[in-house]
Amino acid sequence: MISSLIAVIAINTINLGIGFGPNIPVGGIAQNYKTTTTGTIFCTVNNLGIDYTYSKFTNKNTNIDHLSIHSTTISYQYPLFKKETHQMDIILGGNYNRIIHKFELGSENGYVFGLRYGLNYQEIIQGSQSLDRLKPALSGKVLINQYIQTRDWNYTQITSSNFTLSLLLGISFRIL
Amino acid sequence: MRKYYWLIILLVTLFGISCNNNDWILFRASNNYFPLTTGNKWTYETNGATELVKVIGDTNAYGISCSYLTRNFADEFWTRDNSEVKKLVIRTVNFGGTDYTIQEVWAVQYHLPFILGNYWSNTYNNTTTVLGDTYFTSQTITRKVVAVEDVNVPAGSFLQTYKLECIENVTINDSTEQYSGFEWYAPGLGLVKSIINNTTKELIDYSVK
Repeated sequence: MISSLIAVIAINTINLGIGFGPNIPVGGIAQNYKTTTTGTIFCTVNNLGIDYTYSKFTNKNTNIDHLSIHSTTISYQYPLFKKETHQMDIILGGNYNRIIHKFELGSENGYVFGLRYGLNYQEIIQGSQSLDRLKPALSGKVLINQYIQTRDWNYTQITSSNFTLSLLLGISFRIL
Repeated sequence: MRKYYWLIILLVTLFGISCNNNDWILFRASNNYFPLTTGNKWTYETNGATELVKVIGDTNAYGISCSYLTRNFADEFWTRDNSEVKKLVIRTVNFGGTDYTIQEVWAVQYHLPFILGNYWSNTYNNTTTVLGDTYFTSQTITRKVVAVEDVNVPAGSFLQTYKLECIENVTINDSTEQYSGFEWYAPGLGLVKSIINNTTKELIDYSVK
């Protein structure tokens, strides 16, 4: 039944994975916030990816000011090259970000939409044939997240962007 | 199937970009609402009188590294200690042409970054004897970040300003004065407007690096 369904919707590969690495504020928030560690859980079906990423930035001046970003991203991974054991993709996507800013007795919650650009490198770990269809792979990603804030003001549409640069290393399992 | 992926991405992106008035938390978090950079100048108007505030530079006052400002050529000293912005408060009494200090304190004025709902209150008590007379001084500074608003003043229109509710009580012996009202701070610029004891002060000109 399931294999019939997979055949119908033409799923060739499914990857599940996790990754960790530094998330570096670039431009805007870099003025006030330090580099942090970010974590991600991702799933790719063919070339379509979805992931959840969490980052918690701390203020450079006070370590009780925290800016948390919960991101859910849908992306397309365009293969630059693809070999039997490794591949590299360009990532383009859009995301929905929940922002939570807490400091002392105050807190602010909101959302912003954003864009993601990046590169993904994946290399299947050799000697894993014994796992049959479950192929583990090392995964490396370089991601730029652009958080877009937009609103009307004095009859004009104004926009502001903030950027972060993530370098993620992780492991993924090709389950199909 | 593959061509539809682009459609999904495009729809998500367009939906995101077209959503108006999403929250500007990151914009606010990335801006300095209290820029004490050397050379910065603000000119305010209050009831037709102008007030010029200028950051002269860094200095050392009473053993503390701080920023040296002038307000209509009167000296002011401000410092930032982690999240706290403090101002040197000196009160004096004059006898026979000589000033005697009855209060000298680095009083916390603001907690940075501004964030909605944050609240702080500090009280500074001091008892001093001057020429045989005892002076009791008490100063309580209370502030609360109450709103994010857009503000129009003669110097321009400013978005995403933080509105602070301010209450300050100063007691010297049996005499108490209260100052209460609101202040508006603009991103990258600082104070643009205040209404304290029903007196409005507005920014009319500025030069901020």
